[in-house]
Amino acid sequence: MPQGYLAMILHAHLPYVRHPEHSYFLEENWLYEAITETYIPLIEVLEKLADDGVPFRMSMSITPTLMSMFNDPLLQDRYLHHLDKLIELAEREEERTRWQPEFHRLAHMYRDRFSRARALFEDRYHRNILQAFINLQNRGVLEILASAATHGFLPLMDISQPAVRAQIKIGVDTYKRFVGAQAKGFWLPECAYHPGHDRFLREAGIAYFIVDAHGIICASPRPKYANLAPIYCPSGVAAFGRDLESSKQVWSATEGYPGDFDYREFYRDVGYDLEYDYIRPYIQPDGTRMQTGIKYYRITGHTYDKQPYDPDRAREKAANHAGNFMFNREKQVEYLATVMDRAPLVVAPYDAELFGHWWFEGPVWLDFLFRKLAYDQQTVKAITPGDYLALYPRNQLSTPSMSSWGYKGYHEVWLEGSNDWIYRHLHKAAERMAELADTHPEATGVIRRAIQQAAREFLLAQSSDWAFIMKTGTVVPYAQKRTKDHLGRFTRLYEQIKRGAVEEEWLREIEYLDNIFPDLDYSVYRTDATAGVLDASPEPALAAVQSPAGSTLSAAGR
Amino acid sequence: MFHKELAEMTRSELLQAAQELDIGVPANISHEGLVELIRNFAGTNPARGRKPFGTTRIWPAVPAEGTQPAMAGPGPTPAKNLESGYELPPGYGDTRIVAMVRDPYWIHTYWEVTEPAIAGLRRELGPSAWEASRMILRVYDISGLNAEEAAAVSFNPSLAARYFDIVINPYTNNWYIDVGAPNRSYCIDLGILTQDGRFIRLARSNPVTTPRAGLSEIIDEEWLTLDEIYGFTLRRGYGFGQSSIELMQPLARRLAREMGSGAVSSISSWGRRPVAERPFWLTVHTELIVHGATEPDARVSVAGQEVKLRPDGAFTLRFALPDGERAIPVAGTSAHTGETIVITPVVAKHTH
Repeated sequence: MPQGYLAMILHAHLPYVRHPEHSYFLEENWLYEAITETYIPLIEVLEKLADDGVPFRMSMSITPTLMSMFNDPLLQDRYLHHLDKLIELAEREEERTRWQPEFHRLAHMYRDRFSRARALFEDRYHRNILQAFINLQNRGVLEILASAATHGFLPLMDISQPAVRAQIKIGVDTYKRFVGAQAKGFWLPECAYHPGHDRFLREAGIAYFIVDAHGIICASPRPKYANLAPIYCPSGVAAFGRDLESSKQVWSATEGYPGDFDYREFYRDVGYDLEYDYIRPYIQPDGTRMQTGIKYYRITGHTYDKQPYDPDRAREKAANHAGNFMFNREKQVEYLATVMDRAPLVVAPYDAELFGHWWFEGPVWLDFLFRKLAYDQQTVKAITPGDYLALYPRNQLSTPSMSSWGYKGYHEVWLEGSNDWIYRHLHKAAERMAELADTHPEATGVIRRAIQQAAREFLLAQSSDWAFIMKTGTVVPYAQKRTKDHLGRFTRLYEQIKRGAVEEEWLREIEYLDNIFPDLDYSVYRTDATAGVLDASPEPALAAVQSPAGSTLSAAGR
Repeated sequence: MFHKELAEMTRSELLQAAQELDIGVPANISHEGLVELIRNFAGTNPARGRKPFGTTRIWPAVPAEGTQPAMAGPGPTPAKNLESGYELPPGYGDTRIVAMVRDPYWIHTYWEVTEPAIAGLRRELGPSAWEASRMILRVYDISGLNAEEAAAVSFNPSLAARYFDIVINPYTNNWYIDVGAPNRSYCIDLGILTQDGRFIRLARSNPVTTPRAGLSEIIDEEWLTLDEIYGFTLRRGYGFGQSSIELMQPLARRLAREMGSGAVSSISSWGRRPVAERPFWLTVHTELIVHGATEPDARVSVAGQEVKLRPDGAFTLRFALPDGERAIPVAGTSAHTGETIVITPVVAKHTH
């Protein structure tokens, strides 16, 4: 019997980047790079762990936008083309570096990785790697979490409850469509929680969600176990709080493992380093240099004079770091077990794309971690939040505090000088979307299609990614353009629907462009239905304060 | 004057606006210069006004247009790929104010006032009273009030736990308000404050509640808090010292840590390079190109490795060339006669 549990959660998300109107579109590379460097390496690690019979459990959220892109034939084709170019480059690199053994073996490593990625993508999963994750869930090692439709930042749309409801409901419906099952867990985009939104999670059949540490620590009434155990919201949905210590060891840009000098340097890439004419076919078509994914150096130190990457040394370091991470969890759990009357749960969520893409050795680290946890100690056991709820169905009733996992813990990243201008337009669109749903309960034909498309455009405009990009300062024009384009298309549709005169040819065009959520049911935006959900449960804060006698919920009773 | 575009105003109108805003104006300033001056003021200078109590720190929002962070590094420049797109309207013809919580201490609000609403008020007050009036945000602390009481605070501000005014200049449409107190509920009236102290409401915001910045004071008897856990977790997670947990507040001030999805790995910062200053530098690399041609169906090997010929029988190889001397035997074998020709260039490279 372990003294405590560790829930490793990876959050996999990309905004919907699909541009059929161009033969090449730079931002689609976000997806292609993530597939090669993060998703496929993770699949390889998890499948090997399962094949080897290592007892472990892990959770992973895969957002509806990412699931949709995994399933999109155009992007699948384009990824394969991208990968073939990469394989070709790696082959040329193997030849070019023949007299440089320290680089030659790296070129070989990349060629090998890319070829394996191709075999997995094309031959094993017939271009849809979502199936790999679904298989892992069916094999009992992975728990896949649902997420909001387009990663909308829910607290900042609180003024429109139908908009919040739609993000959650369409997200859970999309999970059902692709995964073929009801989701248990839900990843709140950016861990951003606003009290009361759990009622829409309950409506969607969700059992639990994750918030940052202070979401639970500052919950009310004060949670008995702080963030080392879940609480039940008054709606009956469980909330788990992130553990700070384990987060910091991996996340922190200064103290975290990924900054180790033996690990691969992200910023040195042959796309920037090699002679122009040679690299020209593998960078942007207009000749602008870019990252290719072939990187030959290790971080080395705070210097521009980088040393060649040594995979064996890096692997050894990853093993050490996995051991260190496990040791710290053991110490943490050993202490907590002495003061708690139940086994503590350490919740450790990370962006999936940290693993492999930024932190090249991340997947190997994860591999070592699960093997060590299984065989080198007995104090801590890997678990999913869903399993923990089954072990401890009786939990305290309390309302989590508004919070997010962004910088400073609240909404500042997504609401500040560079991006605050978007909200008046998003809120207006939310109001109009509800109006369309209310006034057209039985729409058919082209009007129905137009309202569905309006909902798609509205949802795509809501991605938290756009505000985030405006704040962080990379590819700002793209984020601004996406916001304006989706809102612009929404407004034009709204006006045409109001006039009863939809330009069908244009509608067909944007249906083809923004093709996410094909079977979207816009009635989710109806205000009466939304009010029905809200009326069905008590005011969260009041219930928790006023009825201490009823302050416990058990999963069985829900 | 609230909604007339600055650029469309006459010089004398602009000068009057500048005076109202206490902006010093150089005598020979151009029309554009004047517009710029007022616009900058609206964007950067704190509003002045009466503060009924306490110290209300205010910093205004950056204007929606014209400000964006510079792109860092040789990041992608996608704009060239994009067809000309949609622009958003400046407003929607509503007189409306909306509030959003940013964190335990700050609220953000944006608003819109229509021309007819302004014109109506102006008529009602008369031109001179109108000119002497100011547009304000009146922020009410409505914590603990029921819906009816909250609705009545505009007419009876004493119902609110406290309220304060922020004078806004006519050229802003959003503001960050330091409400200073976590776990309180607020709503905001947008309106006109006349010289004789009368408040005329134009719009009322949605109510918002700031989150708690520390531990809840409410303890559930059935689930008595295990203080040791809080002590352990807060010390190790937030770096608090050995103080009692009641002293470990407020938490919100400790959250500015180097973590979170934005800190390290968000996908959208892909391709960005560090922007740190690099001292003067120079790198030199050498590569060797070996090329040749034979009959298209011949077999060619270079330094022992088979080479794929182009359809015309030509081949090109490219090698990174480290220091030293190398022999590169190139062997071609005819597909018909089996005859082999070997040519061996020897290349020496040295760096001084």
